[in-house]
Amino acid sequence: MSFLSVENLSKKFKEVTAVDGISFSLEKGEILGLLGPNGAGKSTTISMISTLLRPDTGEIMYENTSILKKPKRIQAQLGYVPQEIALYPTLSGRENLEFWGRAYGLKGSHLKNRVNTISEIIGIKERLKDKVKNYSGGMKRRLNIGAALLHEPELIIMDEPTVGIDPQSRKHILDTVLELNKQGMTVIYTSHYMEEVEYLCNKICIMDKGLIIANGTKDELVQMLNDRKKINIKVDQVNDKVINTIRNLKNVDNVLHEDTTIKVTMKNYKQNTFKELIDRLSEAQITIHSVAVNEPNLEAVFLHLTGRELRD
Amino acid sequence: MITILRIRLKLYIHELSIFFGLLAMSILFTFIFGASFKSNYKPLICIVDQDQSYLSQTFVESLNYNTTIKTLITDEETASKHVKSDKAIASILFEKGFNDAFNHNQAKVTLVKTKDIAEIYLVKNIIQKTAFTINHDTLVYNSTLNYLRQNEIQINEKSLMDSISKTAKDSWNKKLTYHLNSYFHNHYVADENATLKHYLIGYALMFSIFFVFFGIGSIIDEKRNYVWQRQIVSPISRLSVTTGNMIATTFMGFLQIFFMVYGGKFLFGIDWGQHDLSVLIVLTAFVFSTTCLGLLIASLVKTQQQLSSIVPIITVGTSMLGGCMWSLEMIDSKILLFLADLTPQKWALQSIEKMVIYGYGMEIILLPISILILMGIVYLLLAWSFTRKRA
Repeated sequence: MSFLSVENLSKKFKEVTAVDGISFSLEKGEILGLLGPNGAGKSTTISMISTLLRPDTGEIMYENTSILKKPKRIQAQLGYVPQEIALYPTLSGRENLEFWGRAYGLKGSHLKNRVNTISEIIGIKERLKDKVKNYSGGMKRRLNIGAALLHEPELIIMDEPTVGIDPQSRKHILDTVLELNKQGMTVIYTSHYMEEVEYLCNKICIMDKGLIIANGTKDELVQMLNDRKKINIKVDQVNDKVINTIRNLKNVDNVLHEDTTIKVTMKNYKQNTFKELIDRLSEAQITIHSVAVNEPNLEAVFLHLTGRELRD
Repeated sequence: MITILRIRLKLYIHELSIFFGLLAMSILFTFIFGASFKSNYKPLICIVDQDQSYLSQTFVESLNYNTTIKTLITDEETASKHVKSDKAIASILFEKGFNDAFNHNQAKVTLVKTKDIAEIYLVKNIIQKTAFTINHDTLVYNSTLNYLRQNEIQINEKSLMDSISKTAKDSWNKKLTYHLNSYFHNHYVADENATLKHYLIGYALMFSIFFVFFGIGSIIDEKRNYVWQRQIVSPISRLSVTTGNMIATTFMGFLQIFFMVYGGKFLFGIDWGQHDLSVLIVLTAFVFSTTCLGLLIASLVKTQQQLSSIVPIITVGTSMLGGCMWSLEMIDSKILLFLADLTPQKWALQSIEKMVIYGYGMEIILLPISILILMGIVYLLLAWSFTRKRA
């Protein structure tokens, strides 16, 4: 039996189906990434797992117990990091951590020790006395995560925890997640940043329009693309005629363009196909500035499955 | 629940300046509004007496005698200036020859006004009444004089007229026609400042709702920034979150109203009667019910904007219905009186009024506080139910 399993989960908000019959499972010690564009249903899914929302249909089992019937079973073991900075801005970092620690039953010297430990992990120990409203965006994000770690949860759910922060803070947060996972914590991580999910997760569910359109490890997902390659060609000009010419080439799966960069996804990639592509551009008297042949990644998987880019 | 209580109080401590600011404003406005009903407003009437006759002076005297208006005897130009600049509501002109014209039933009194207000009708009434009195006195004088002449009795005609006028005036002033005895039920006697106290209590109640809803505002903030949602997914039960918020907000509301009662009493000499403790008990029950109403609203709205738009409507609307701004005795509509019964203000106001103004004892608070607590429980259960559904 899995550590956490989700079966046929659905949630509608009036006429909008946010989550449409999804199923997945998670083993203890794994990091599961929910990857998808905004509005894919990631936040609704984790809101149901964290007992904030009740699903319309489906079942969520946590260590063999239905959390729909016994929500308390998961609540005490769960660390929930919402996308918003769910903290009291007028209180200090310490007061915030103490409050959330108490909410999970910590008290006395144990609470004090945990506040000190966590503040060290998230790197805000020197600023604990300051009011949260005076923190930088990155510090607030880190404190937001710290508030979910005080009670040493078995499972931590993080909803886009790196939105709107600087690269340094992002790196710190990602490394913290990996470190927590090494210590045995199971993680569900949602993001629309493909690089983050690739960097952290050993299991990935790609979501779009309330559905899980693919799941597996990163390698398994990339394998779906077989011999597909993504070629980015920077040129001096782009026009519809050229794009249509490329699209009609044998083995070309998808063509997109952004300004003067043509993005071509090719199936059964072979050297002569590439040569043919370059020849067509030369015939159309288009000057090529650079060519990059990329290995398939999750972005390419999403593009392959939906015909759209992840951040569209 | 202790955790929620603790954090709420901590948040209030961080906002003490707002707490005292609101408190000071509440006390001040209660005092100002209360005092405004106590004021002795008398509209000014300018009188121009060009005739300077016995009759015109009798009219002027009658107008001066009335306590509901202020009079200024002046010339025509000054009177006109006062009326134009709204310093006086009207001017009355007795033109030269008024006395003779009156005796020939052709007298004219000119009233100059810029607008029709209630006091103008009062002035017209005074003039008509004076004319009636003078006519009456003249009739008595003529009849008496004729009788004396027919019987060849010598009399000083001037002193006869003075005597008749004085006797008639004394008789009118004594009002001996009948006595009106009125009693309050149960023999309680109303305080002479009953109206003032009614408004003081009413405004105190209304301002206390604003404070309670200020506390509710921070709960909406918690929802907005997801703190509330985070609490809901923690092991703290939803009932504990709702109850903890309710107790903390009620406590702070109670503190505010406590300071309002005693601050008003010691700072501005606002008299809350002899039953301070009973008044505080009723106010606590009132704060409890309005806090629960606030929690119900908090469970229904999502943003501060929604709360900001709904709070004044609910606060002012229920305060008007509940009789905070006027006495419910003047309302006839059964629908309005039924709606008044549904407002916490009505029950709190009525019981406090009975104690403070009519001197009732503590026993009068039992029914109102039971109703207020019941209202609070209903609101709280609804709030909890909506919280569960919405989460």
